Amino acid sequence: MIRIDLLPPEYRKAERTAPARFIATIGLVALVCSLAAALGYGWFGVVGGARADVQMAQEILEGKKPQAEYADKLEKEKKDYTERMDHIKEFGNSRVLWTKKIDQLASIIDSPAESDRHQVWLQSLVVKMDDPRSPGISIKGKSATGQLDNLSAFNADLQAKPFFTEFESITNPAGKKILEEQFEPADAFEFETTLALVNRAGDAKKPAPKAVPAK
Amino acid sequence: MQIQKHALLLILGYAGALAASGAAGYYCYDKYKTARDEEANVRKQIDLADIKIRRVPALETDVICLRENLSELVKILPNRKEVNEFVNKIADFAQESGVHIFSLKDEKDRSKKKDVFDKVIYKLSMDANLGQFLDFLSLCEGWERFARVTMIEISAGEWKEGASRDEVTHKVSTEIETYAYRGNDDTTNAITILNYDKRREALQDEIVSRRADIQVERYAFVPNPLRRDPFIDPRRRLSDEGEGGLPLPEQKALVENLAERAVRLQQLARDVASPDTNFIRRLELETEIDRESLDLKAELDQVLAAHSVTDLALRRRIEREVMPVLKELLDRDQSASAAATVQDLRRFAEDMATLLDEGKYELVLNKHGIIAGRVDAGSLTAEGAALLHVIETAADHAKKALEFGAKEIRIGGVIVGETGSVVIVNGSVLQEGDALEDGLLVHRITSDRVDFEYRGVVLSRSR
Repeated sequence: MIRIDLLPPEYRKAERTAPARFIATIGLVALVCSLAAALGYGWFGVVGGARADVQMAQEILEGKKPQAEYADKLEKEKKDYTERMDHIKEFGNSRVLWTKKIDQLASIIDSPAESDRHQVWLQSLVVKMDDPRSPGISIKGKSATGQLDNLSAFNADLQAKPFFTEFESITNPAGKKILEEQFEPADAFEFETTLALVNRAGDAKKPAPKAVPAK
Repeated sequence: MQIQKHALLLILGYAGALAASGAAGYYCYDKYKTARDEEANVRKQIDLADIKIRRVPALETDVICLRENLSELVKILPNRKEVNEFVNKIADFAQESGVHIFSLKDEKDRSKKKDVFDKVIYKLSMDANLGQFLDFLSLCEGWERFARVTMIEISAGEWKEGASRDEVTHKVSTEIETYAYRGNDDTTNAITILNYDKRREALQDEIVSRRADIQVERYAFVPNPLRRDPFIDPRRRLSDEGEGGLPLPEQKALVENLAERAVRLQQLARDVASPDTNFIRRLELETEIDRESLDLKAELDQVLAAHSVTDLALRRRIEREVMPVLKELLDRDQSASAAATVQDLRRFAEDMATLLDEGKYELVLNKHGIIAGRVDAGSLTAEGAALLHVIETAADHAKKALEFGAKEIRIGGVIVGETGSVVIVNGSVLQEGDALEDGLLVHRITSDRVDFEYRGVVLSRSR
């Protein structure tokens, strides 16, 4: 049946929304409102709360910063001063009294236990404390007479205390025979001996120097 | 159619609402998570800060102790002013020791720099004999501020023809380093600790217990003029032979003999000092020591005057092994009175009396020679003094007996009568009481012997 409404629109009877649509629309509105409320709670409540906690924690941290920085400065000063002390101690402990060592060496050369044990004199003496390869003392000299056991006796005397206390190794006795007719006895052995120092700074021990063949 | 449009709109509305809410929800969650992570991070930092803050009291203690101990420790190092004065010190040391410095350089420090330490290195070159150099080095190493010798090079000097060994000097180079500490001037970064002075006072024990002092070893070098310079050839140089000297084997034998005799004398001296040696034996040993040491001295003087020993090592041996022994023995106190007992003296006197009775006058005098001058009469008891007097008297008698025995007394004849006796001595007729010469009287005349009195001692001569 076709219904024609001849009334002007302002006089027509309003059409009612279908119930299903109405409910659906109300539902949508309710959903949107609920979601909005939930999001609002989530944003302002939860996230806001978390941000407030962060803010509070940062304020606490800011309050502790000066003390923490003070502690850092103390730590740094402690480290600095400890390094300075260690440096002075290392400097002090690394010292060898060379007056004593050379005095002892001169006594060994001049006064062997028996008069014919050895007769030695030096041509040169070199001390190098800071040589990273071989800190120690090197001596070049001669031993009178052609007897090799005099040279080994001198080497043995060098290895006795107290002279050898600061050393850790010595080259083996070796020499080259020479003849000097203007002297009596004319025979002599030329030798070179190196003694390596004990590492006083506590580094790993340096390897013992190799025996130097006579030139 | 309209229904479909509305349905579509509703569906879109629902979908859109759910999608938007999902996106917004996810966004909120992300923000929440970020905030929580940030909060956790800040909490960690707070915990770290708490740990640091808890350590502050211990750190303050450590820093106070370190500051105080470092300020003590650095006193061994020179300050800048003292480093500058070190050069003056070196000059003073050189003058005192006799070395001749011809070069002084301020070397660059090539090592890793320490901020508050300025390393100072001086390299010196000089001429010196070994004794002078060791004296100089000893002064440097004994300087009140800490210095370290890091390099020494000694090259033996040339012993020229005709020159004495004492004139030889060597070329010596040495490097001496020290550190100047600038930390006392560096106050900009120093932390202010509250109530520092009070806390320092309270921590005195802790400070001392943590103080690890550096053991600054020093060596008192004593020059030994008798020791040869090890950088000079000690052998005998044949071109110097014009000054004398026996062949080396003879020199060795001579010195060996002198040394052996010195050793024997030392053994005798030890025997004298031994508590097992009785008084008489001690006196005998003293006499032997006197005799042998005088002989040794005479021979040594002869050897030295004649320059018989020219080898340096042998001369050193004489100076070390013979001369000190001789000096000690010749200078020793020979008084044995502290050990002389009455018993010792009585035995001695009895021995002398026996020898005197047996007519062994020389032995009496030898025995007297052992004790003569070695017993202080003033320290003896009365009995001891009396015994000593007996000993002296016996010696006197023996001496007179020997003098009497040496006299020429020829007894020509004897007449013994009831009214008196006469004797013919050296052609003169003498009675009892007559003097033969000054101090010599005829004491008694018998048929088989004549007693004479010589300077108070009655001695007999047989016909």
